[in-house]
Amino acid sequence: MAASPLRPRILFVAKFGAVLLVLYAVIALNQVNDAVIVPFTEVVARASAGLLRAAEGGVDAQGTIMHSARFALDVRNGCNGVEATLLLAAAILAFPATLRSRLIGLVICSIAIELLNIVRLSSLFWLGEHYRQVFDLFHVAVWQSLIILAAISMFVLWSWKFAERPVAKSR
Amino acid sequence: MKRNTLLANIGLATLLLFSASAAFAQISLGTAQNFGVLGGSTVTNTGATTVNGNVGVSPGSAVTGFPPGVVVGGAIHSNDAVAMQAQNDLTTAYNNIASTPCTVDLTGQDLGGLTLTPGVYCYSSTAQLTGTLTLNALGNANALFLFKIGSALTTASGSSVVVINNGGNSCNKAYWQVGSSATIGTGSSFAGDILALSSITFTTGSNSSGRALARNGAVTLDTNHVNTCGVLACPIITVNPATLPNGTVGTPYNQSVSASGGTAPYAFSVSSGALPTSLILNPATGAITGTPTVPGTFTFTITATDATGCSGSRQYTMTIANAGCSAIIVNPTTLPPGATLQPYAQTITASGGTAPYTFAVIGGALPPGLSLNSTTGLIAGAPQQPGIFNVTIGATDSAGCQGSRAYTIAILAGQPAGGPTLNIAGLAILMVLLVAAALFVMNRLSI
Repeated sequence: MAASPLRPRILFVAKFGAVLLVLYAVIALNQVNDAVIVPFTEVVARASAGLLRAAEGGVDAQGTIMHSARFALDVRNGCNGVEATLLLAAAILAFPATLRSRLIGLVICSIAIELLNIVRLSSLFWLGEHYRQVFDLFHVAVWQSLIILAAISMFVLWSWKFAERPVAKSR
Repeated sequence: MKRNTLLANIGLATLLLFSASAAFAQISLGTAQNFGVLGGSTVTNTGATTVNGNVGVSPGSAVTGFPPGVVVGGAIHSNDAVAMQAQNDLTTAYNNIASTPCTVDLTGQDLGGLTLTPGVYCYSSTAQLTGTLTLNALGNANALFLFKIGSALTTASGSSVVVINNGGNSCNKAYWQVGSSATIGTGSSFAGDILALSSITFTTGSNSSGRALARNGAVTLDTNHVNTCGVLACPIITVNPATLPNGTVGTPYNQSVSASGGTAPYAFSVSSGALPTSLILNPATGAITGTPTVPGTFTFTITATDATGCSGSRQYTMTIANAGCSAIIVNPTTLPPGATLQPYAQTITASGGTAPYTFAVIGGALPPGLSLNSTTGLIAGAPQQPGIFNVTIGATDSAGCQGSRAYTIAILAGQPAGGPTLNIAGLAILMVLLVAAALFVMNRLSI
């Protein structure tokens, strides 16, 4: 008796939801937040300030705050790319693929999203310094769209290449 | 193919985004950078002036006073092709700076007492420096400070421009585009290249770690040291050690400072502040000796000058404790940043001595708008201007024993903005799209 074609799809949605819940529950723990998320966010702030400093002096980071003489940006929880990365990670973990493929996808996609987020923060800071009037536009519309586009593109490319395809029936 | 095009577009957009700031970061003097002094009409010197780099004039031709003035690592160019080309390049650099947009308008504000971070600072008319202007490069070796001054630049006697946290690059980080003439007051210590439309005057004993470049007028020197960066610049002279041990009243003190990076022998001097009472600095050996007689915290700067006249300095803070004092610890170790016009309140505490303690600012200055309560140790107020401020807070216990801690307080320009990667709507959209994309791929691959 052939398996229902709906089964892998339902299984994916269920796994995706479950993994997402677990991952979000983990980062909601105060201990994880204090020991991992906040230090990571400080690294993101420093990296973003460093990237911008390479193009334009006068930008520094103290803790999670990027600042110059003209503008400041607080890289709070939610600004560090972690939530977007977890969404992508949940989709990769739930998708039918080998464990090795999932690990490859997790590592590459997570790094890519975080690097993109550093570029995002640097560019937003620069806009905040020089073109404050378009800061919100880029923050809310442009960069959100780019991050979503990047995440979806990476997931489609990864799943297309690494999906566990059904074995062809022998004649 | 489409993916490659998308990536290329994203890359191009990112490149464009940063190109504007890169333009700001690149100020080239062209061949004018080889000149320590360049005049338009004349260059006139009186006294034992030293200029690193070429001395030139164009379209005028009169260069007088060399000797007794000395040109180190350069030659005198009197309206020759080299000087003419340098003047052309100077005009280009002057116009480039003039066309750079301002980031902060300081019109009407004395530069003295300010601590500025890299940026473009503008005066619509005259600019005055009385006291010390601190340029904090924030550790960035490529930091750049541009000053656009509508008319005259004047520094009062004994004023100074100090570059801190220079990221290991002691070369010029400041350009002063002056709409008319610049006058550097007696004994001033100036930093940065002056690009003046008219004349530049260095009065007696003033020094500059930067070029004096006048487009149309005269450059007048009087017993000055004009130092330039690049191949002609002085080496970086480092004064060591980084800190000096504290002392005790009645106990003989003997520590030495040394210098490196220049040409020996070095001459040591206290260039600002004062040594603890009864201690003396040996100018030849760098030894600080004597028996302290007065308790307190003393902040001073020791400058080492090498055989070629190049110098380096380091600021020290030394606490002289009463005999029998235990160590007074000042906390916290760091102070959080604040924001302009936002309430700020942090309390300094002390321990290790006999309460009650009194607190005082013993070095540097609090950000304008903040004050220290000497009894409670509360630093409170609303900062008035952004910047990085260095301040040393001292605590004295009831027995007169003292301790101190140096702080750096960052005051941000306005309330920090947040920047979520994805807001709730963005996260929901991404979640739905990921599920849709997964189902799409599964359909296409017949999973």
